[in-house]
Order: sequence, then structure tokens, then C-alpha cells
Amino acid sequence: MARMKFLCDAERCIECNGCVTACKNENDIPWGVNRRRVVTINDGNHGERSISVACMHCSDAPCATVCPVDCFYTTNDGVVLHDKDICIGCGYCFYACPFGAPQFPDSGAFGSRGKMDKCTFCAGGPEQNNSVEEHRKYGANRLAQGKLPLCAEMCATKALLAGDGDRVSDIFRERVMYRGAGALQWGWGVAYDKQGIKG
Amino acid sequence: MKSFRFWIFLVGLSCLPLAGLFFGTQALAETTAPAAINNPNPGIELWQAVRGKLDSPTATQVRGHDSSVLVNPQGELWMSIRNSRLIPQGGQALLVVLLIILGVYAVRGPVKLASGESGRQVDRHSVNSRIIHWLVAGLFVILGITGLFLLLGRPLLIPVIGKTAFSVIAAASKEVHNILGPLFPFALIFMFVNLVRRNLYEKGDLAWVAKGGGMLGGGHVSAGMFNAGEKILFWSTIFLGIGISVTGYVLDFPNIASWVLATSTEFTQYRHVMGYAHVIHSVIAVLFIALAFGHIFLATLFVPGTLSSMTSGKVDSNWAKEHHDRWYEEIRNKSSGDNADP
Ligand code: HEM
Ligand code: SF4
Ligand code: SF4
Repeated sequence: MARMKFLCDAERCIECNGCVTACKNENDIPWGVNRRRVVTINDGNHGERSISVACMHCSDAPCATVCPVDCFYTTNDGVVLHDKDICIGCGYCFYACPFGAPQFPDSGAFGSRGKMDKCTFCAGGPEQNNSVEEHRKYGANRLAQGKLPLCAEMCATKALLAGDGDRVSDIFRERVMYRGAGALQWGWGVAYDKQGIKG
Repeated sequence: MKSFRFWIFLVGLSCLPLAGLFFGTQALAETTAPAAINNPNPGIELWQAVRGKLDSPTATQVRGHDSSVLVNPQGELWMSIRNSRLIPQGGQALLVVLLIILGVYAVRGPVKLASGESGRQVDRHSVNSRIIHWLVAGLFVILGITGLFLLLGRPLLIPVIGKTAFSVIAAASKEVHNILGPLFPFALIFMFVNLVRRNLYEKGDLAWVAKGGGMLGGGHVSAGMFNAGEKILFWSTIFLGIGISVTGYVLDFPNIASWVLATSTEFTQYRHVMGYAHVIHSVIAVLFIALAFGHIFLATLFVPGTLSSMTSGKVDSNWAKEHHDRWYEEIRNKSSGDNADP
């Protein structure tokens, strides 16, 4: 059985936010909710790197263990999904998640948190696959159509990889082998043989 | 003699590997090590920055308190405290308190009036006092029950009524708790103003505590309008109330620190700040609810005749004489001044 994984290659991501846009469009995500975000480290400095992040579909997911109404479930593909009919929008999953993945649209009295929304690995929710109802609540269900998440498919530099964890790590391992010396040795310091210069 | 030489030979033979070790290390020390490849791993800094451990400038287009931190491991502490301390131990603590109360009731039984009821009623609590008391109590019971649903519902209720039904209860609990919670400190302020004068330290309070309120040593315990136990209840309510309200506001309004302080530096409500606020809130809640169990038990089952002071506002004069003798003297002097029948 496949175990779905995302991987973002920090040496390739160019912070174009194409994945963010693809995700918003494919899943019809409301304003203010970002299932995926690109974070740039050392912004504007030497050694700048960008990484795209969304729900990492953890095994033994922290969000699921703290949810007071126990609304998470893990699919056979290892994708962590939740049931919005049961979610009460308490925000506990957001406190527990290390990646800041759960998102909350404003709703309810006095703009309190609405039901949680997060990356579904383009795998929809508990409703009938690709039904109108499923799309309204969770967005696309590309996995049921035999496709992979659109963010990764749209990534122009193929920095963002999505799919079976074994295949993804094979691809990344091959890249690292070609680059030589370590996962990140690809910058001009190596190209011009300036040892000691990072990146 | 021959065998002696054989043994020398054998010992020498077994020392040979040691000699090899000696010359070997000498040889190693002589050959110069190949020049270290000066190839620091730039990944170290990157992955530390990813965890928000370096002050490297980070940027993202998503707005939020810490949306530019890629990996925030601080939720793990909160998660483990809530899952393996607050929920099991909080629940057990409340159960233990209930059992202790049952035990005390079984052993000491209700504290009946030695002289029976006189049938004569004296005024104890004004209408204002009673309204304020039931405002605090009503909010407290609603907040406590809705809060406990959120804390203990998953282990206790979901196995019984299922997820769908529990979700309805939990959603309502969250909404009610979030809306009524912010009113609680105001009720508390009314109560403080109303009762603080009667809850200051008086002579005799220490003696009351030393005798365990009459439970220890026997003999009569003298008390004023409120005995030392009630004063402890009052001040605990005030301080626990302040703690639960401050942390409650932090949880309810995730931007309140920025509004109040007009800054967003140390007091920004990052995830770990919310986590700490939540843990403190829940610990106080359990203590507060345990205290309330004790208070309700004493005011209803354990000391009959007390409850009417908060319903009709009146108590039996013998109740006043036996439980609050100094207060009884006080009101008798006052009313005799008015020429009224005591
Ligand atoms: C008077 C007594 C109160 C009691 C006994 C109480 C009890 C609790 C309990 C047990 C929880 C659940 C913790 C969990 O599920 O892990 C909770 C959560 C919470 N309380 Fe209170 N609380 C009280 C007052 C307040 C006040 C005054 C406020 C606000 C000003 C407040 C705001 C909150 C908030 C925002 C939460 C989080 C619930 C959520 O996000 O859905 N509480 N409280
Ligand atoms: S929401 Fe967060 S904790 Fe839950 S599976 Fe996704 S990354 Fe893991
Ligand atoms: S916000 Fe929803 S999914 Fe997250 S912990 Fe609360 S009830 Fe569960």
C-alpha cells in the first residue's frame, strides 16, 4: 500500500508560490485560508532558501490525538483527513500541529473559529468521492481520479514532490547523488570551487 | 627448567599483539593526516532556521503570528500535558474529591442544630447579594459543565453516544463557553465589591481554623458573619477567578495582547503562549470545580438550614446562634436599637 508523502527540495524551490495558487484554485479555498504556504529563510541574504509546506500527513498525527471530538482518520494511502460535520473549530489541532497546517475561516458568533480546513493531499473527505458535497467542503479529490496533488504537479522546478513515499525518496536520493557532497551543495560556492562559502 | 622456558616463550608470544599496537600507533602519529575537506554542511543552519531557532529573516505571504516558522515543535509539550495529565488526572482528581465528600457525609452525617429550629427567621442576605451570588454560580456551573464536556467528552461520552451526537454537544459547549466566559470576571467584580468587607480577617478566624471549623477537638467554635472557611472560599474564588478569566481572555481573543499592549513582540499570542494559557486555565478549572463541589456540599447536605439564606434570604435564628454567634449578637444589638423584636 502506498504511503503518500510531500517533499520540498530546498535547492530547487524558487518561491514562485505556484503551488499555493494551484491549491487555492483546485480546491476553491475561501479567502484567508492557506492550505499551503511558501516560507523563505534568510530572505534577501546570501544563502536564501525557500520551502513550500502544507499538512505533512503525519503517521500518529498529533492533531488527531488532541481533537476533542475525535474527527480525524487516516486513509489507506496514509493521508490524514478530517470530518467537517464533526469538527467544532476549537483550534486544538492547530496548537498541536508542528507545521501550522490547520486553518480556520472566521464564522459563527462574533467571528469565532469556523470548522478547520487543511490540506487533504487532494483526497477530499468522507463524502462520496468527487460528489458536489465533497467538493464544497473539502475541495478536489484527485487521488480518487488517479492523479496526484495539483501543487506538486504544477511545480515548475519540480521542487515540490508528492506521491508514494518510496518513489519520492528515490527521486530525491538520485538528485542528491548527482549534486555530490550533501543534500544542499549546489550553489555557486561549489560551482566556482570557493570552499567554505555556503550555498 | 625446560617447562619454565616454555612458559616465558608463551607469555612473550601473547604480548606480541601489544607490541604491534605500540608500533602501529607510532606509525599513525608519523603519517600526516590528509587535509580536511573544508566543506561545512550548510544544511545545519538551514534546518535550524526551519525550526525557528535562528534569527534569520524569514518571509511568507501568509499572514499569521508565526506563519513564517516552518516547524514549531512547541505544541508537543502542550499535547502531552493535555493528553496524559489534564484529561486523565483532572478527571481522577474530581472523582476523588466527590468520593471524599461522600465519605465525610457518611461518617459525620448532616450537622443538625443542637437546639432544633426556633421557627423564627432572621434576615441574612439582601436581594442584591442573592442576585450576585446566583449570577456567579449560574455562570460558573454553565462554564464548568461546557468546559468539562470539551475536556472529558472524548474519553467518556463518545464511547456512549457516538461521535455525531457528541459533536452537537461539543459545538454548543464551545459556543456557549466562548460567549459566556468573558462575562464571568464582571460577575466576579460585583461579588468582590459586595462581600469583601465581610471577608477581611477578624479575631477568632485562626481559632476557627485550628478547630477545623468544629470538626476537630469538639467544643464551640465562634464565628462572625462569615467563618474562616467561608473567607477562604471567598478569596479562593477571587484569585482562581482572576486566573481563569485572564487565561480565558487570552484563549478567547487570540489578538488581545496586540490590542491591549499595542505591540506585537514578547506578548504576541504565539502557539506556545496559547498552550500555556490553556494548561493554566484547565488546571485552575479543575481546582475551581473541586472547590465548588465542597462549597455546594457544605451549603446543602452537610449543614441543613444554610441554603435558605441564598433563596429566601432568611435563616432560622437558632442556625445563626449556633453557626455564626458573633454575627447573631451583632444583628440582635442592631435590631434592639431599632426597638424591633429580635
Ligand atoms: C468559571 C469558570 C470556568 C471554568 C470552570 C472553565 C473551564 C474550562 C475547561 C474545563 C475548559 C476545557 C479545556 C479543554 O478542553 O482542554 C475550558 C476552555 C476554555 N475556556 Fe474556560 N472555564 C471557565 C471560565 C472561563 C472564562 C471566564 C473564559 C473567558 C473569558 C473562558 C474561556 C475559555 C476558552 C476560550 C476555552 C477554550 C475552549 C475552546 O477553544 O473551545 N473560560 N474552560
Ligand atoms: S495537520 Fe499537522 S499534525 Fe495533523 S497530519 Fe497534518 S501536519 Fe501532521
Ligand atoms: S478544530 Fe476541529 S479538527 Fe481541530 S481539534 Fe478542534 S474539533 Fe478537531
